[in-house]
Amino acid sequence: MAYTQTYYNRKVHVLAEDAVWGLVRWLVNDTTSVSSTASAQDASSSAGPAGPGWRIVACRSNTALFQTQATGSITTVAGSSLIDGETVTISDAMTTMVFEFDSNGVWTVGNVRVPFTAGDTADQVRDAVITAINQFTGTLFSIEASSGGSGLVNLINRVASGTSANNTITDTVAAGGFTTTGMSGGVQSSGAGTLSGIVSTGDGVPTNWRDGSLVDSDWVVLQSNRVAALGMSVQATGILTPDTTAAPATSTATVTINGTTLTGINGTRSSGSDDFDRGVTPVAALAAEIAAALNDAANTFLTAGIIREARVLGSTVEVEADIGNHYGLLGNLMGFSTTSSGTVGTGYAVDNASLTGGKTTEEFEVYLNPNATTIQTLLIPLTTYLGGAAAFQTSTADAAPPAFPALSVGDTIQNPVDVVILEPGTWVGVADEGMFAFICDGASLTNASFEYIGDVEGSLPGDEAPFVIRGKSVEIHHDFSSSQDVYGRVSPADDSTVLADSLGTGGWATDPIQHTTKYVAGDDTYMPNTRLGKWVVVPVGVYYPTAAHRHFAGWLRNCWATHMNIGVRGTLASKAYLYRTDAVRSTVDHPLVLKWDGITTY
Amino acid sequence: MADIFPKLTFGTCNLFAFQFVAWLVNDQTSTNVGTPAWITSQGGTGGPGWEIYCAYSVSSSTFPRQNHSGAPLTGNGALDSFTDAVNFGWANGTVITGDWIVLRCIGTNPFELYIEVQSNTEINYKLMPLASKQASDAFNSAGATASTPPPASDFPATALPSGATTTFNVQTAPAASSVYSGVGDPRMFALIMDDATNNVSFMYIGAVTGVGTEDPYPFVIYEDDLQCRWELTDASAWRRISPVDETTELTTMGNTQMYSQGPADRIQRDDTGAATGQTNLIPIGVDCTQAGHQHFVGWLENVYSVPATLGSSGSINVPQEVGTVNYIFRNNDTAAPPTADPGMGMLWDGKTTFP
Repeated sequence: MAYTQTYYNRKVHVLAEDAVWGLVRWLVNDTTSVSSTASAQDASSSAGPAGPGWRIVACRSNTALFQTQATGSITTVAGSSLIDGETVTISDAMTTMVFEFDSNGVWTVGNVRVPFTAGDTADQVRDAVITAINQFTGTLFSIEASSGGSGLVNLINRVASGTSANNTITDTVAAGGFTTTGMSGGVQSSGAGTLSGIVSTGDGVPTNWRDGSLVDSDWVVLQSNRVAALGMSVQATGILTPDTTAAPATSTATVTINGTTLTGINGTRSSGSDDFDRGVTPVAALAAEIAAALNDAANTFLTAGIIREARVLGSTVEVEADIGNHYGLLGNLMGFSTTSSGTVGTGYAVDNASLTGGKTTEEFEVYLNPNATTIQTLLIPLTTYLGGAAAFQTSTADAAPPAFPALSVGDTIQNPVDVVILEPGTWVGVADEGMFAFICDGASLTNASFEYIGDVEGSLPGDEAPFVIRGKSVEIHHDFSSSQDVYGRVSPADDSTVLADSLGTGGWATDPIQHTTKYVAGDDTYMPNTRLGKWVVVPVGVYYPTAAHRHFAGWLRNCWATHMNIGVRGTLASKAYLYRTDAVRSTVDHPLVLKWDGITTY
Repeated sequence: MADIFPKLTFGTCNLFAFQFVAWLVNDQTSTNVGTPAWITSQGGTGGPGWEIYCAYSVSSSTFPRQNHSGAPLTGNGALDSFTDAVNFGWANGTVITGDWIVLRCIGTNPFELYIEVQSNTEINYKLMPLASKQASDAFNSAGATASTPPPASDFPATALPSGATTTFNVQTAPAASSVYSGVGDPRMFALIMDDATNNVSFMYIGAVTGVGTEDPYPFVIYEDDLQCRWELTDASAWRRISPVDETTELTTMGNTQMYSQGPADRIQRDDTGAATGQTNLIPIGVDCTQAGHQHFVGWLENVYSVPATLGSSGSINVPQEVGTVNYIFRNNDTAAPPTADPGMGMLWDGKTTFP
């Protein structure tokens, strides 16, 4: 799958607070909420206000807090009150996990073990529950557990928000003191009416975000919507290599996937018996026999939601995890094994002891804080880095500014970019489910501000969360020097080092397109006027040179550069693109280009 | 989703051509496909599943030219479906000089590819983008003339040969040790031929990425039958049909290298690759400077450049997947760094060792 839609916005705002309110309304695709101060400007958008459907995680108005995430709790009891095999079932809106209390070392396949002893205190049981849940948080599960005090586990859904996350926790624990609450409290976080529905947590008082009457201390945290464009996951797979060198009458063979076994028999298989004919030859035909048995709707593997499909690859069988029960990374937990006896050769084999390759779409959060003269922006990568304090912590959200996760990045670690606001300004933006970029264009041609937050295109395998943020407070142009074009991100090399030293990149030609025009002001040799028109935009790459983290991250999406001779601002290709640069740098650097709506004048 | 043609050895390009076509159409079961490593190796995932539209076999006296109509001819059994399969070279596995076949990639706005075995060391390719005039831009798969080459009238005016010449010298001489390594997806393939004497060929046919909807047919053809490295001066190897008028054949196209902080820092050339944990892969862009058609075409899919300091060949892991073979690279430049050109990197299957 791929990003399929691009959303555009153009608004004229007098105050930065109004502009950010409109930006948020657009990103969450709230088509009905009305600003108390900017409704006329919102209506001026000829192509909007459709937006990419991001979600509000939390926001603050004065001292009031609003959050959309579902929460819950578990009150534990001492181990002496628990019975081995009792369970707690929790759903994060995408995955349901069963946590099984275990004191004898035997637990149900597919359940998550919570070890305990009869001598454990309620706090020790609490800690065991927290450990069991958080081992998956951020990779397989979006609910995070933390201690709420004596015998209490607090739960919060870090990714899913809105009412879909309000899934009741159930349990089979007989002890009366063992209780659960939630998951509940998840409220509408995206779509029509989201902003007008905002009230503060606890007192239910309408907040400034409800109608756009923001003040300097008000902020919001949004979450991207990549899953809507990229799909939920890549499913885990495994390869089985069967063998035909043994006499079927005296040999045995089994294939086990996530605890369910397909057994080889000497003769024609019986549909519904989870078996296959181990005497089929040659080996390619045996592979087809096993695949057919796995795909037999009367057998267990499809009907029980273990596999999505088994496919023949030459003389091997590739199995793919079921989406409903084992989506994305969850499939990597599925055991995969085979046994055989009586064989002469290498026998049956699997490529790995579990299915592998499952991946779940990563998201990120963005912190925005409008002030009178700046907008603070911060990138908070999620999922890959989630767990513990990596996500925005709503529990500390009543501060202004709030505390930021350790891996958040602005112009430096945990330090938001202060994007300068030029007032009265014209705001233009482009966004999709995984990025947004905006320009704040002042009345003068001298300056404009530009910000880009989100993922880039062209990232490599192993870099599944290529999220960047432009770290410049003012200026809008594309340059090659580190001091002029800086994008921050978390390193894909270790998923923990924050990089804020990218280099602007250019070239792209035998005679470098952008570079030559930069250093030979007014020289049209390499970018002649004939290029003016629809084919002049050039990709903008993001490159990190730091030793041990050196890599090319990718290209900005929906954003490009064009050559300096084109002027300070305007549109290209029948308004398919717009461009803008600073007047002071228009003869030495290159205007940035945004994809545009083909309609709106700029 | 890309598929890998994982380092297979052929003595002649005739033998290679049959398996390569089987891989492109993902035919894993036809009688004479056998069980090659592109199916059976641990990294084997099949082929990209292109479609057959027309084929010619010198060896078939009764049905030398066979035009396909109806449902797409692709996947398992496709090659077995030719009439006179006993004699037809694209069915019996004995492709000889003069045999040709026309394939079509899959997806919206596809292109067609003409493949002709010109000798046991040379293959001729022609790229035919099916632009907005799709019918007239396609190979005439209803033609009746059985000959090699087909009548010129069977080719659309916008058919593009590979590189400055019309042939791809896949082997300098028949050699039992010639190794072919490739990557393909529904809209492209790239291929490295290495005859183990430092004669290395590289070609890329198909779509580039990073283009907008205003350029819906971003298909390029590139071949260099003398070297496998990324040099700035080899501009003549590229061809495409201009997106401006969908007619003009563009030949003034160039390799690109990426700069940062000015010309002194050419990433592709100067990235030393000394640090651990890096990927070393730098995208390759294609630029056109032909008057009236200037544009940045896009960047190659599944193909990158790598620093010359990595050496003549090897593999690259991505940081989190140490121990896998996610990319391979090849560079036959005999100069030493920093003078040497960057090498060519290619997406790989994660498992097959290279070289």
